[in-house]
Amino acid sequence: MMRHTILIVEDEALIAMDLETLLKEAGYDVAGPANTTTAAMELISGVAIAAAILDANLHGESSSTIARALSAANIPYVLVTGYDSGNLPPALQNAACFQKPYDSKLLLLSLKLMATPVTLKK
Amino acid sequence: MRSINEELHAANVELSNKIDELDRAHNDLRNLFDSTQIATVFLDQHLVIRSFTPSITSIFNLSSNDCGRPLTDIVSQIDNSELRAEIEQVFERDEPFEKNVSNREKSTHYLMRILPYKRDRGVIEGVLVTFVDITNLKEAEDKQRLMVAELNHRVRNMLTVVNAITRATLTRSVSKEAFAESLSGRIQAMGTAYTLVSREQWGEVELNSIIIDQLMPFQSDSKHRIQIAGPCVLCKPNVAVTFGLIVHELATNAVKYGALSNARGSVSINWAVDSSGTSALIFQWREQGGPPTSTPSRKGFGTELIERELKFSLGAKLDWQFLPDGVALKIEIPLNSTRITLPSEHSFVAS
Repeated sequence: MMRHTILIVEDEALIAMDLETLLKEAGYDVAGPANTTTAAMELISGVAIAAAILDANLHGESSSTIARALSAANIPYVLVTGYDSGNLPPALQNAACFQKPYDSKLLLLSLKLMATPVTLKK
Repeated sequence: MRSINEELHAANVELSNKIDELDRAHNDLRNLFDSTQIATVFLDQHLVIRSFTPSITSIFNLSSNDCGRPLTDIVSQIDNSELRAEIEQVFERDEPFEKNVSNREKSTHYLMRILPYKRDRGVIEGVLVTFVDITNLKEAEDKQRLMVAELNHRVRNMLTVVNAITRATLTRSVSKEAFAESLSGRIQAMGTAYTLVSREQWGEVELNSIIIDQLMPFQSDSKHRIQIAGPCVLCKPNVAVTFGLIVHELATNAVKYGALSNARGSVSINWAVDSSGTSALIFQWREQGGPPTSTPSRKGFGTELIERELKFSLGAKLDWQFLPDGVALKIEIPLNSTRITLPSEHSFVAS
């Protein structure tokens, strides 16, 4: 079976480590973790990514730029945020959003659905 | 003739007293109006201006010859097209009305009150419209809202970190007891770091204090075996927590396997600022007199935590050396205004 690569964008070292462990145990390859917009953008343009986990805020700044780049590249993503989901900037409001502390089972389930999209046969 | 004269005189005195009284009352009122910062305008039932206090001119372009003109004719700094309807409502219901309004640039905020102006028998003859500047109050409210959001964020983040530490500790623990001990130690270390950060009101924390506080639980039986020396270096709250955890892991390893696992080993902790090139903090942890060390075949979570935090969060370079008499770790962390800074010359405190 083909292994999918998931991009992790998260600025907190231990949370990034936790996500990385979760994904690897679930059979994914990991791109990142990236903790800056620059690092994330390089990975988006350089690696074949099936889906992404995106922290809504990196060092106090919104991840809107990364979200737009992911959308432009047709890469589905889930948001993970420590802020109230009602306070997200417009660019991030339509994404599936997990509040910290996230439920790892649900997070993995939604990534699975995103990384292997269901194709309808005619 | 004389009595008429006396009566006239008495009437004159009384009149003059009354005028004085009226004058005083008038002056009192004028002084009150002038001194109060509350912008007030008096209107009759046709919204015609009867009088106003000086501070109203910051809201309405009024001058003294405007008395007698309807307020609705006057140019206003405030964006409130409902004023007429609101005043009419006060006439109809005989109840005060209030709401918050802002100037067009949204830089000044007022509490606007419309109050019925009544004569002796309680008949409404007009209204008083007052504006209290609540800009400071509103800014304080906004600031508080931001702080609460930030606090929520920190709490959520901390819970997520605790969750991550729990999972990682669990997978590397050989027994329930070992898991409980390691996890509890790590949560304690975070707690210690947060205590220090909150004592500094979420400002900057001295590296020296972070190290001393983290080593407290290890000090009792190894008091003179740990030496700490370095200049004053200031850490931002998130760095203080990161550094606290790192020192905790280093000390735990020293007690379990290193120089503090026997009765005579020692640890020296030194740091200095290297200003050649990009300024960096050089931090050294050197254990001596412990059992012989060798490069570990497998990384424990403690070591992984140290490396992850230092490289990922602080952009640091690490150099581990497993020397015959103990481990030596050298860390080079670039100084950065958002993470670690030096005190300005004037606020330097020798530690």
